[in-house]
Amino acid sequence: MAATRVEDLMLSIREEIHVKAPLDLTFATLLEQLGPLNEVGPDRALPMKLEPWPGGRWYRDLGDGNGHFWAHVQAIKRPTLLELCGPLIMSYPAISNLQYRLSEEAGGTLIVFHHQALGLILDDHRQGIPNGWKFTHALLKERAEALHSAGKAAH
Amino acid sequence: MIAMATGAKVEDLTLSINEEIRVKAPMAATFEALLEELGAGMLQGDQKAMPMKLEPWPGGRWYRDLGDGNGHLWGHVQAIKKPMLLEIYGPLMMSYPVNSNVQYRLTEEAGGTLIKFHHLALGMIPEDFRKGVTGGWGNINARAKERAEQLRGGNSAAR
Repeated sequence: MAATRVEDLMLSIREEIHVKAPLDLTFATLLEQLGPLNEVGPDRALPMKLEPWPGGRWYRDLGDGNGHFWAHVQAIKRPTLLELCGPLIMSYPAISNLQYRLSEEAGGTLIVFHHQALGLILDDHRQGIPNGWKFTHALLKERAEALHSAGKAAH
Repeated sequence: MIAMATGAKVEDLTLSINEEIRVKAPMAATFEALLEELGAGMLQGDQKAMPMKLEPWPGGRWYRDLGDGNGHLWGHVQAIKKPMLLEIYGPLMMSYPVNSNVQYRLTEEAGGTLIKFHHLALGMIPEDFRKGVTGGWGNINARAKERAEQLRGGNSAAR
């Protein structure tokens, strides 16, 4: 066990994502990106299921009752808040709280993301998780903006 | 209030139990017996029945159903890959701020199945609980082994 100080038990990642798309569309895209369109790297699809209601599960469905559970929906207020709590990918005692807070800003939507965790967090996870979120959020932004542009072009 | 020493170290907040259980039964039967033992077949330390419910799917609950909406939640299924892996996270029976990760990893070995059991917890763990929990898991795992071997014996006898 590497942790010897209380600080070693914590993880805190913040990111602000500016999306040139409306709030509703950005929120809908967020649910899709964390759900069926989830990817963990270039061309590395890892489709998840996200049950979008309080207490709903966020999990990897491997069929026949098999799978990996990542979290429960702690709060959902469409289209301004999605909060998740659970072990995520950590197969050891650790609990995470994830927050996506969306607000309107000039030209689109601001997403304020915060991941806080407490537990026996492995160094590999501590180092890799920030990049994982960046990758996910870049895809989310790209997809929301593409959908918005396509919608405008159709009008 | 849980008595914790002032200036507790991280080690004081953790609990780690490992066990290897060698079962003379195939993996599928062993996994089935394990689900049964952690579920409807659960016994207390004094051998009194304490049936639990284990919903065998991702996010499924492991809980004591007292009827009429009453009960105790022990954990949720964090991962399940039948018949190789069962992973549970949650408070278990600890009514204080603790999070546990419990893993059962099954592999085939000559003559049967090897179960690698691991319970890792982080939180405010009272000393008496720390002392008792190892024996508790030992009993559960021994009964799962016995159940699996009986199940296999029963199946063999039926052929």
